[in-house]
Amino acid sequence: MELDISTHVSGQIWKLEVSEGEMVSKEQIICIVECMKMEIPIVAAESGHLKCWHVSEQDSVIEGQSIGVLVKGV
Amino acid sequence: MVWDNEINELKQRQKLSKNQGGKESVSKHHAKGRLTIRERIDKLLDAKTFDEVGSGAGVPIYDAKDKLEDFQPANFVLGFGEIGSRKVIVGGEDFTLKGGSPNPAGLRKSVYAEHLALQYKIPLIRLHEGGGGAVGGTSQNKNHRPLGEPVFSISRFQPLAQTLGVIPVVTAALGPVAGLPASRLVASHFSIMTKNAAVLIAGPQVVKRALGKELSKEELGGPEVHLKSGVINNLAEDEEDAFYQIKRFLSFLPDNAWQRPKRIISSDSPNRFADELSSIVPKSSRQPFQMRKIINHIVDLDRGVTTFFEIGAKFGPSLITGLARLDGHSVAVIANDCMHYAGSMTASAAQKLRRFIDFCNSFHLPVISLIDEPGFMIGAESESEGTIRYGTEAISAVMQSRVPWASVQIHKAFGVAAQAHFGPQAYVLSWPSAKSGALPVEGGVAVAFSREIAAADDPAKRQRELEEMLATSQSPFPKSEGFSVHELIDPKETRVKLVNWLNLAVNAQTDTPEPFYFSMRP
Repeated sequence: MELDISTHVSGQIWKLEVSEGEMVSKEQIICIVECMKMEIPIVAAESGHLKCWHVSEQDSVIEGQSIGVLVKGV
Repeated sequence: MVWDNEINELKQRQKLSKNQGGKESVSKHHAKGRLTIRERIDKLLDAKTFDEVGSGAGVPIYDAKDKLEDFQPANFVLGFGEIGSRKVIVGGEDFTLKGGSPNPAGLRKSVYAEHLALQYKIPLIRLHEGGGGAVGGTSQNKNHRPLGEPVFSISRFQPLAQTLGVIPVVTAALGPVAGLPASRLVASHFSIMTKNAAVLIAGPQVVKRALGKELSKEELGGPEVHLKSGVINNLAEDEEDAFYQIKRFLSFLPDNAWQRPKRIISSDSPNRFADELSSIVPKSSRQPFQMRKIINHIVDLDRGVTTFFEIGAKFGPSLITGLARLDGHSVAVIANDCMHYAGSMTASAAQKLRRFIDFCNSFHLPVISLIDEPGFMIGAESESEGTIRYGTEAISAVMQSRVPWASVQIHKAFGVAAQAHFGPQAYVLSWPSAKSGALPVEGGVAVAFSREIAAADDPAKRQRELEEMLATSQSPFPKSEGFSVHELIDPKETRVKLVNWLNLAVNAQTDTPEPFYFSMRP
């Protein structure tokens, strides 16, 4: 099952912590958004693998924006 | 018996009125996964405590021989009941009759709900589902001209406005709620909606005609929209969950503004230390932390489960608001969430704070304020939302507050917005991780020392030096030396300190509780 990854804060993509195709576990930090000089982690909602990112590091994002796709399951 | 015939008719009418909109209408309603208003009331209240008011209001239908054939009841069910052996008033539209859009008796009963609550001074719960009035008025006789209310009548919105200052009002949207019921829905201290509910000023057809936009009921007023708009405080998984949350919310409150919340016996130790708190805030100010974890370490645990009940998490999310127990006392908790805009005060967070503080004052709830405030949110969007006005309004509400207040400086406390976290005569504790001042060093130095930095041989180096120098002045130690805080503490002692303070503060309340009134604000 494909899950949309969205950011709950506006800011700038500071780090994409996993690459496309990489396995992730539930609650793992997969991306960090910089907002108001703070590093806000975006965590994986489920275990699975990262299908793709829609954004690159340094991109500006807004609250609720879809930033990637996670595939649930192994 | 003398009155047998009349008593029989009375019983028959009562029986018929319980049929609500008829079998077909009720099963259609069930098929949508919704309960009827009578089922809702039964599930919400303690068993067999519903004491109906106005069950006979409606229209009898007689056959050709003048024998009672049917009875169309008012489509608003109202009455007294008990929740945890405590008296409440409960009411709600009957969606199975005219889709909840008021029939004449239904309108009278619905308007009366607030009168009843004001008279008996007990909490009011309204379970809403239905639309407002029709264009042709509520009369069933289409030949009747809508005459309107007489000039001497009291507006139905007058008691609606009065209730909020004197009795707890809780509302739920358990299906589509539009027009007048939507307005009544927000006239409450706590509002909740189920996943399949929608709250609308006007539905899709009206919107299409007026604005030419095709939007579904959910797009206009589903949970996604209204949890963020602030119209609705909390989402309920289903109706059972809605009733559970309503009971939880009410459990923290007194019956009315002339009473204080009742203390319960807490099973949690007042002397419990929370070791984890001593390392919960990271040294780097760029690293966020979980404020909700801090709250849960401080408030009472009930058989291992937190007593913290969060209200309105999605609206103004940089500020957390909720109710909890501390050594058995009801308390209100406000805390910044650095996961959203670093915890800064946005226009919506300010509105949330102002409303919550007024609520605390109305029902005499002591406030525990956990501070990580970087200041008002900055930038073009924030300016255009009028953040400075809403923020200053919130600060004024805090300054007018009359409840006991304790403030714990967890991390940041910067700028004007920091003032929104200290009520009058607040008991102030500080953690070693606290930082305070007019501006965070990172931004402030660049502004205040711009010439000096520009003139330096190595501007970046000079800026760093200045930042390090000033960071020392923002440390909590000088504040402690200057007696600007009551105590600088090891974070693990926070619960113990707050419990001691709260018992003293509650003991010192000698005035008689009464409704809270305030003057104009910015």
